Amino acid sequence: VNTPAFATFFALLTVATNIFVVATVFVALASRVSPAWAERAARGRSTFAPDAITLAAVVALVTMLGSLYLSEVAHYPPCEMCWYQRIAMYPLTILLGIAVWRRDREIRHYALPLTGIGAALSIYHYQLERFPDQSSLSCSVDVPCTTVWIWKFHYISIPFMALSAFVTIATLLLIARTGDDESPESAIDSSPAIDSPPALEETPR
Amino acid sequence: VSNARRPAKSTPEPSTTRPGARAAAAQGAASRNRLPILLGVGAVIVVALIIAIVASRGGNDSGTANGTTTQERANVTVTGTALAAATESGLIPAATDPAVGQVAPGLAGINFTGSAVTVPAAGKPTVVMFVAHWCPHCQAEVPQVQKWRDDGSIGSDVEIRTVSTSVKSTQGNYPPSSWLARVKWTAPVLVDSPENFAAQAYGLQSFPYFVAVGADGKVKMRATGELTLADFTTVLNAARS
Repeated sequence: VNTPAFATFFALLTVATNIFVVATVFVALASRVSPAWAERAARGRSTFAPDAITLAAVVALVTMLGSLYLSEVAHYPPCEMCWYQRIAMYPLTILLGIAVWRRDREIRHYALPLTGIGAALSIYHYQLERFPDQSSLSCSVDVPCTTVWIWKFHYISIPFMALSAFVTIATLLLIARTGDDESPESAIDSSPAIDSPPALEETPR
Repeated sequence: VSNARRPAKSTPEPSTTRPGARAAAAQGAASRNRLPILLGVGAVIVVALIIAIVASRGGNDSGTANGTTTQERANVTVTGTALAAATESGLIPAATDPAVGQVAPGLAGINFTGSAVTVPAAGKPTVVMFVAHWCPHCQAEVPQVQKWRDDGSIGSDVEIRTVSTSVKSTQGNYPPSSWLARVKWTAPVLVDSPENFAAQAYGLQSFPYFVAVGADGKVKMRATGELTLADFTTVLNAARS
């Protein structure tokens, strides 16, 4: 399997996450105005919420491995903005992985800020690719952030893939939260100030 | 995944179950639906992989434009002394540029289809223009210059020689031969070597890069980055001087 195949593969995964996020946002909005959609949204939540943090961890892991593939195997040198996005993405793999292991449903307090920062960096990088003249009027011989390495389906570049991953992880973490709110323990779960310290002292297994 | 449903066997005190685990246990009824989700996600990944492999099977990295085989990189013979690195951006003031007054290195190589190209043009004022196919500023500048050539905004007395350099098949807008054909670029193109010897000889530091060479073969002015018509005219006038 060669680099163009992987680029297409990553782009298709990006499309899948885009569809998921758009559908989630649509259902969330529709559930506010329509009782029928509210019922569908509740069913969707109960289906996805238990696995949402696991799925978020999988998205983070695939994104990290994908970025490592592009830099270490395909030899696309990461530009400065790429590195900042990596700084936001790679810890998510560890944080969410440990959260899955410990069944810690409060991880969003730590993970959501990272996804927000990462998404902001990705948006800046993406628009820099679209409008390259704002940083400088020339490309340096080293690695300019304005260079587009992958361009698929007329909208997906590497920073857009990163943006999709950050937004998907945030969406999944918010779905996980709604699942908790509906559980009988929601009163306890939504007060991390009381519950988190003892939780930290207990070993999961 | 399955161990999230119930406390692990080795847990010594059941009373220390964490709130999160209790919440998960409370959703035990929902956990029957979990396998389809993970299978669905796995299926999406597998289908994407299969489509990607099938879709990229027909692709190849060798340069072909309009059905003819092209040379995207080729050996370049460099004669003379290399110019100092052009570290400034925009129009580089001739007064402080160490390269100005120096004899421009001679480049001999081929174009995309294998015909011989020499840089600079012998005995004529020349603007040597270095472009990289993946650089968005080159992608913006090249059609501009072509438009100025076509509509007579700039005279035709100054030769323009293009050097296609820093060619990488893994980067965007490859191959450069297709790109320059698409924007109907009419100036002769020299194909740089895999080591970018032509760019090195001219002290290239950023793209696009312009070197004005007079009819006497000496460097008159250098410039980097996207140029306006006024700035490009300044470079042309420097070559004429």
